[in-house]
Amino acid sequence: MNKILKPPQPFIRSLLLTVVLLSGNCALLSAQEVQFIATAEPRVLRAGEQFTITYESNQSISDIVLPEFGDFQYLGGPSVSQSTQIESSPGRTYSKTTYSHSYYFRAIKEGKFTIAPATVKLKNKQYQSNSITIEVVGAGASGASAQGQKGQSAAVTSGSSSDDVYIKLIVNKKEAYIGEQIMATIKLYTKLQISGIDDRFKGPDFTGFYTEPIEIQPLRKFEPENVDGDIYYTGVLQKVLLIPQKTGELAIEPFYLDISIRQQVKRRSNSFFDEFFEPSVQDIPLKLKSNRIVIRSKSLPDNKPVSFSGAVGNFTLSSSVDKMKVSTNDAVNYKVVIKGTGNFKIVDEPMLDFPPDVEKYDPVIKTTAENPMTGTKSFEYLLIPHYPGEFTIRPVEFSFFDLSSKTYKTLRSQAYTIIVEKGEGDTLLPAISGMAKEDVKLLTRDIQYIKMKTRNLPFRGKYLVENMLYYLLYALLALSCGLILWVRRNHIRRTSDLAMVKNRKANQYARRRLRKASKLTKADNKNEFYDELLKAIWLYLSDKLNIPISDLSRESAQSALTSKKIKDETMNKLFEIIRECEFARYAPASETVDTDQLLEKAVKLIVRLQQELS
Amino acid sequence: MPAKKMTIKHFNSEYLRSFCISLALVFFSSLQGWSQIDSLFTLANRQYQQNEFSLAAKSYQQLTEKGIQTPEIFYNLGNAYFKNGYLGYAILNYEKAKLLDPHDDDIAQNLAIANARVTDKIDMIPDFFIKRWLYHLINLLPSNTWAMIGLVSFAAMLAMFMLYFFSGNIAIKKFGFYSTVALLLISMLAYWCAVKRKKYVTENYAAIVVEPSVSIKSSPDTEGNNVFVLHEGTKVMIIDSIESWKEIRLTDGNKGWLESKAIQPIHCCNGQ
Repeated sequence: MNKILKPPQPFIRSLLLTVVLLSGNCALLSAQEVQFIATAEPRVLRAGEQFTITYESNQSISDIVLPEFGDFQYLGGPSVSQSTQIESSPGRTYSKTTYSHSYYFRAIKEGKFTIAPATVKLKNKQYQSNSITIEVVGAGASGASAQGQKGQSAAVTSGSSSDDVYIKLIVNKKEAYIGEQIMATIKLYTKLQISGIDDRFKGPDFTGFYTEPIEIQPLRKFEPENVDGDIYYTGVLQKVLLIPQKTGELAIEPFYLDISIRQQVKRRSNSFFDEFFEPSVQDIPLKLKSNRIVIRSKSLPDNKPVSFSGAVGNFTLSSSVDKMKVSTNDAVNYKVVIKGTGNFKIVDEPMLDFPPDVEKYDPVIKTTAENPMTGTKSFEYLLIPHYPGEFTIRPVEFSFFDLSSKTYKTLRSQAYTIIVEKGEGDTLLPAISGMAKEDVKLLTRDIQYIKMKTRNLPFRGKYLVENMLYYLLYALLALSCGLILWVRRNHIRRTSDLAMVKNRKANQYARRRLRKASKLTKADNKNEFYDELLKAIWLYLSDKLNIPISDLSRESAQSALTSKKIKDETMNKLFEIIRECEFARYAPASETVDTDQLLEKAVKLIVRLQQELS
Repeated sequence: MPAKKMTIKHFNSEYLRSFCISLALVFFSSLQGWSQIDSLFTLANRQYQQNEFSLAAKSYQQLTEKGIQTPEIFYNLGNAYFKNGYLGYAILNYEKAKLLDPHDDDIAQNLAIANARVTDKIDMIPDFFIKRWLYHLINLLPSNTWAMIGLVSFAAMLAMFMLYFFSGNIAIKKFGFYSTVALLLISMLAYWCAVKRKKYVTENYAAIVVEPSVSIKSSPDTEGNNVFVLHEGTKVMIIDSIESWKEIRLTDGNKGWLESKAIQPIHCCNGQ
């Protein structure tokens, strides 16, 4: 880049001080490396125009063996010149002398010609210059003067672009992946002499791209260039790296540049003074419009590796450690370098897994660019092991999208095992606080292997506790239990009711039978009462046992009652009452028997008999 | 009245029908889909065996996204993430596996190994011992087993009650009474366990930090002050959420807000 922009005229090159010496002073820089450079001025020209080839060296040269110049007409030369440039900066001063030999030629034929290197002999050593390419275009029909910039006669009206001057946005590719770099150059083409360029020019609007301006040297001189057989003088205004950020068609809309061109003015006045005092040139402002460019941005394929973080291009990965053996609490430098062409600047810090008892500092990240597209990014880690033993730096993985093969590539660095020895006087510091012994033990262990069989698919419906049926089952159980209880209870009640009714009926029956006797309890005549009671009992027995009263006796009643399975206890009570009645009836002396009590006994007896007989 | 009766009847038949259909569907889909699922599982295992851990993780993930959530799949997925270096996701899936199968040794061991690598060491305030016992009790059996125990002991309780009610013998009556009371308590406890276990699996409030490092803010916005920083794999409890922010509590009692995407809750769609 430097070479291109180097002004070819050696006489105006000096920055601080140029001393032109007439006599040689050659031994000054003999220790320096010999330079022998060939340049052509101009490199693009029309047939019939002349050009100069200059050989420059930092040594005094005399016998230059020129190559064949068969395609050109030799006009003159060599003209030898020598220039010394003394540069002083604070602290030191150095001078540089350049010796140059110029030859003059005229181009005759059209075409592209390569001039072979010239050779020179210096101190018994052969040096070769570089070869030069000269482009000769046909003598244009436009009639523009041979000197291009200087002798411009075509009149241009101010305001708009013309064929003679235009601005162009040039991209090196029109199709790119997201993350791929595109070089965009804004170039001014002119056949006219340009007197001014708007210095507020910002360039186009690159919406949809991540842009990275590239520093170029300010435009000083236009270079001739062959554009479709015509010579234009071109200059680069801006260079930008574009990185598409989204997919689709991304358009860069036309932009404008204000320039002014210098034109000679023809004057009617023939006065010498007019010409002397009035300017003979005129500046005409022009607004130039650029072309529109559409870039198709493609997305990256989906199968991105885990370690992919957006790098696109072509990279290499390397790593290094400065020592393999350290003592505790000494630093180890671990460096990971990613180098290559592409968007290397956005490369992320690689995922690193250092052992936990090794102290790790944040990496020093350095980005160095060889040119805008190529460079390196390095990550330098400082590791301080606190415990003696061995620790392993595992390989680093880095993935990028390779543009040439259109696939993802994963790079792996080397693994390092570093031996740590116990340093003298070092006390062991715990690297991680709050770590239990079991944790430490677990850290060194590997996980259990995967299971080869899985249980069957679990039921994918609702949980039982969310299921209505589950609750219905509960309700069903409770209901059926309740039903059983209700049925059983009812049955019991019904049967117990029957017994009560029977009991009540028997009671009523007994009282009816004993009604006469009960009436007589109030009477004074106790004998009648006893008679009546006895009669009632015997009649009752006769009724129930179906024995005629005449046949009824104590023995017959007893046998009948026994056959009817009347309990002995009841029978005893019966006969006791009978005996008591008879006793009271026939032995009136004893008045002690309570009639009411006796009656009650009789009622109870009959109720009992009634129940037992039924 | 008849109208009401009808709706109830209608509802029941409708419910029964949908229940039967869903049961049949599950049955058939499990018959039909199982071979496909099985082959995906085998494929994932093979990828793991060939050290293609990221591919294996993808395959296991597919299975779980299909609703095939068995502890083994979560466990294998956790292993694949662990081998790939995703500690947070590894722990998340081990925790899920443990949720479904709390008694598996391999799961417990790998979870412990993964947890040992977590950067944050947070003190645990041990739970009250009764709470701990109840936790173990709940996780002793799957939810549906607890539910069945509840139902069976309820039926047994009713039987014992009838025994108590109808028996004439005092000793049997006594036995019936006490076993009724005991079975009622067992039934209630089992039902409670079933509900709790189900909630524990499906509505767990625990979550795992899956981003390598996340700042915990004092308020739910990006301008909030940073209270502390958590790293991948740390377990937190979600206590509140506002929009895309979650309030979390650590086991040591510290609280703060973080963005939802930084954590993943530990719960499964089912697992009984």
